[in-house]
Amino acid sequence: MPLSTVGDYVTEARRLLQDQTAPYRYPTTEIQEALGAGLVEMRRLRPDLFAAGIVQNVDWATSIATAVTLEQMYRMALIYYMVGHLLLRDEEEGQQQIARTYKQQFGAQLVSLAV
Amino acid sequence: MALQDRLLQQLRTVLPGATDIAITAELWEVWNDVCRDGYVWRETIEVPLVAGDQSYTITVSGAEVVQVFSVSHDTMDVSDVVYEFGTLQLISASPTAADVAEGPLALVVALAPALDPGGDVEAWMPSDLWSQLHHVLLAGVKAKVMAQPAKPYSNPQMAAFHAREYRGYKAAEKRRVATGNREGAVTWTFPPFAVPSLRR
Repeated sequence: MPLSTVGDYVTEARRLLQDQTAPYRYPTTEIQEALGAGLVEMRRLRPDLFAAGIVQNVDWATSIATAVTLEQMYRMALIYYMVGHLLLRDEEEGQQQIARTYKQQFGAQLVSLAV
Repeated sequence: MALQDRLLQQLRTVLPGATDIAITAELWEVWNDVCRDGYVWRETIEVPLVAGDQSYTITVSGAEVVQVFSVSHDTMDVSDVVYEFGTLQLISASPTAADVAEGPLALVVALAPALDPGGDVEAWMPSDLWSQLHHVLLAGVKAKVMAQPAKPYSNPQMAAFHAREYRGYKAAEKRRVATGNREGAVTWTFPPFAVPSLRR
């Protein structure tokens, strides 16, 4: 099943960021922090996706082999949040616009039938 | 294939993006409403008599009694009984040994689910009711789920449509159960104020 572990999310995010060759522009710890932030944001928009309202804690210290519990339908949306979150730190206007687009895609997939 | 699979599969098809947890939660609400408002889940409960005992606690596994329609026994006069808060009270009659030998009391009751909503969906209702109430549950869950805001499956217009559909089906089921599935049966009676013998 795709996007099952923290490592899967990091790999997929690097693919969209075009950052697959070491030394990496975006450290793995930062990508994992973005994953954790994305889960919290998903909890805000779609509490029904989290049993008992509990958000899995993912941060820079989480093992990449840790399984991420999330409904299959919304895993790519989380990737878009992570990529947008990481691109936000860039100062070029073009990157900022792309970051906003990714974040909007994340939100749209959670609350509508966006593709 | 589980009994609820057909229902859940149809709901997943018309509710894109809805999780099984969300669908099941609303299914519980609809099933609970249909039982408490429509009295569609009826059972006959046998209550073993004890000689001299006029009070009996009525419990049903996984359900609670919302209405007692009738109490009957072959030999004992049960015209003066009261059911309240899970207890059946025989007001004037007291069971004798002969009454006990004739068998238990028979109560026709309407039930409502009293299970933890997180429990096994398959066990929520008797197996025959999954088929009998399929259209009612389908319309009700569609209405409730589509009415949720800010979701991929949100659709207020279709929610209103299915809500009307659900109310109609529920009313039809209520009448069907009340008439014992007899076509054209009459269920109304004169109001008490119009009948002197019923006035209190």
